[in-house]
Amino acid sequence: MAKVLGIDLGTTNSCMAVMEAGEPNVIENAEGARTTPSMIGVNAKSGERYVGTTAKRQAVTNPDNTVFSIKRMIGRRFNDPEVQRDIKLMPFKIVQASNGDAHVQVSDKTYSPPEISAMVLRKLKEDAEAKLGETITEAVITVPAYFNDSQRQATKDAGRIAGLDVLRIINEPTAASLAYGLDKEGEKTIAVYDLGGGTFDVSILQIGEGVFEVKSTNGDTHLGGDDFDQRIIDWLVAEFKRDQGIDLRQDRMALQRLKEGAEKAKCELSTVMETEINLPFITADASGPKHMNISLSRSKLEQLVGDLVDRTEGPCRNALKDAEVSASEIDEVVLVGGQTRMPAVFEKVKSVFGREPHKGVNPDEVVAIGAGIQAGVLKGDVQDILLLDVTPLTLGIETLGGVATPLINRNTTIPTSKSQIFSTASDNQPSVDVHVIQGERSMSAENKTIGRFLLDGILPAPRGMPQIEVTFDIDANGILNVSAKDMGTGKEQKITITASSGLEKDEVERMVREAEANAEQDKQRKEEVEARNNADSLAYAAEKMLKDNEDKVPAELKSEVEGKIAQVRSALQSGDSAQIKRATDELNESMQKVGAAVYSQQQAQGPTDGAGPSGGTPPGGEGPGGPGQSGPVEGEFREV
Amino acid sequence: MSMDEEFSDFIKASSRKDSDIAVRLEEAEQEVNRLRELLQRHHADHTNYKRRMEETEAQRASRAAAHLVSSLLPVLDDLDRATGSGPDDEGRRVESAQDRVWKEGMDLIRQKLMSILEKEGVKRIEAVGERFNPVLHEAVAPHPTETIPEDTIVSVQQHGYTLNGALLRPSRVTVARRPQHTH
Repeated sequence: MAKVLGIDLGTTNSCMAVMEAGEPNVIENAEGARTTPSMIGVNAKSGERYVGTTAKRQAVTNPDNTVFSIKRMIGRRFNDPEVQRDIKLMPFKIVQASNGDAHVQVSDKTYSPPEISAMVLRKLKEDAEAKLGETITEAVITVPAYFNDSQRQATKDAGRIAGLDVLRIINEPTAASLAYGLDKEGEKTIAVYDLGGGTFDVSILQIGEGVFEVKSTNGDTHLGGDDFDQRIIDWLVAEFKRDQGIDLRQDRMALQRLKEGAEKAKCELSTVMETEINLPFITADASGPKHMNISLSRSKLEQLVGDLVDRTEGPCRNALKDAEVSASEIDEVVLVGGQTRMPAVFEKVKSVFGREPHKGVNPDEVVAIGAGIQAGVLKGDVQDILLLDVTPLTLGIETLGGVATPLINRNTTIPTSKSQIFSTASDNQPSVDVHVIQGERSMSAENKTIGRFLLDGILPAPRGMPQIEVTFDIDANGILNVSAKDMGTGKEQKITITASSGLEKDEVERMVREAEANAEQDKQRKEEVEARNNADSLAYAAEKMLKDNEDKVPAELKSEVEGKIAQVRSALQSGDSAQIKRATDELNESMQKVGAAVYSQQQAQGPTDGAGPSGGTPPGGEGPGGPGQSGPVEGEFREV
Repeated sequence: MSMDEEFSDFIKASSRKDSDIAVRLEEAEQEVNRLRELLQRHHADHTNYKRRMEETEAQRASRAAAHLVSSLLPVLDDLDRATGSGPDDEGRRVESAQDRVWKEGMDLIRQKLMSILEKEGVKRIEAVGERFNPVLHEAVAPHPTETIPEDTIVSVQQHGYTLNGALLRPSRVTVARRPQHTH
């Protein structure tokens, strides 16, 4: 079944998202950007049409035939005061259609606002199709909460012209609330504060049983992030004029660089306290080139834009008044628009509504994310039957030395299954004890035992030789099947652990918390156990090597190694980890000598299976016993 | 009740049972079909998602390179300006013998940086005299002229670059226009 596209059709920028594998994801456009300018342009002579970034790039040289901010006009009559104001501000031509609506004239052809919006929507649709590799025919589109019926209908028409069946038009503040999952938590009053590039909107919503009701909206149609940038530019120009006596306003290229520098500084000051606007060779006069290098602190920026931030307070208070709620009755506050990243704006919102606004979802994308979620919900039935759960805690088995070895990590989506091969810890071990544990700690004793069984009948074999395959399988109901199979004999044992033997939510949280608190200590203990296991295997391997190569190892080297093995064993007895490590290292060194001795014997006898050319170096780098003895090593051909 | 009646009752009852079974079978078949479709859909969803994630992963490395190179471009711009090899530095040049030596040194630094970037696949977009194309160029101003054909790039204010064929940053250009008419 095709996906439904969630679209935030914005005044200056648009953004789109779809549900994928149960998560809303923003889809990048063909240029690789997550938002697309809501702008179109037509080359009057060639008839070429540009949408998005390319339209923006040609706007300056083609102002008559470039249309932007069409959202301010959609579904409005020509004599609407808003439209009349736009006629004075917009470089493109706005005309009256025969039905009295406002239309725009581009390259001697008139277009209705829905046709213009449709060009943007079609680009989004086509880019999404290219990214997702499937055809998209349905969409959910967001509109401001204050849009009336004809504006909503016109937006729907735009979708239809673009080849999209608009399943639903939803309010932008509702979409933003959906992105934070606020529809799932019972009765609530929500304030949505949306400070975008050019407009400011505040809405008070009431939610109950999954239904959103807009109680009031307010705002300022000409206040946004661009005004903030302008304040910084003005300040930079004034500072430069004071220092250098040159007015940068006269220099178009310098202004362009200032604008970029100002925007960059503004964004940086959301995370750091001070930044530099460093623009070498910004201009020149008779005395030579001039550089700009001005530092701007967060507090200075806040001083420059303080009144802009304050201007958002009035609309918030009016919205509360119209909704007949007090600030203290607001349960949730949601932020939309890039400008809300500014700490001073965040603090203003916090002080007006008396609570911490939600963070986490990118404020430029939060509306599109919500539209994507709504689109997923409309596909509906899917969710009901296949509600996928996750394992709340890690599941694993106990291995040598009481170490908890995880097989399925926490938060893995179920159903799932995982197998791993284990072996025996001692020679001729007749059975293995499969101890199934649940929890986040590194040592099995600190985790919870949820099952235990024995796999016996393992044929006598040296340790490490038998292959025991342990499989964990959790079905959709959370029932865990653990099986252990001796790959040699095919003998198998299994156990079924039902979800009821699991843990309560509180218990899960407690265990995760404990694991975090003890992580360091656990890691150390695990390392100790690993060092012990390591030492034990090395002593075992050394014994075996001596036995296998009895005739090739000189007597004094043999006794040296035997002495080192004894040291390792006694260190293991003592339990002192420093001592264990030292003894292990020493044994390792002696064993390299054994290796060298064995290979030199082989060399003397001549290679047995086509020894390769020299060049290989044995593990441990330079030949053992110093360079004088390194000759035999040359024949190294075996990966050990 | 005659044998016949009994028999016909039996037939009726069993055919009723049959039809019950037929209904239930049909329901079960529908359910199976529905679940099969659901499974297929989820499987397809998952496969698509995986493919896209793999593509994203593959893009990541080249994106990281693009990001680094893009953030170095302003330095290259500054060196362009410093050495007067920038696109539009007429009238900003101040020449004394000492200045020239310094400028030469700066120019060598600029060339070195550029050659490092070129080795990584960075290419300057040639623009002057080309037809304006918003995929590669960004117009910063119209250039009123009666002689040059419209839509021709007259000057470059800031160079644009591509990295292995993909656009890093468009060239900032002025574009030939007939002198402003009013409407």
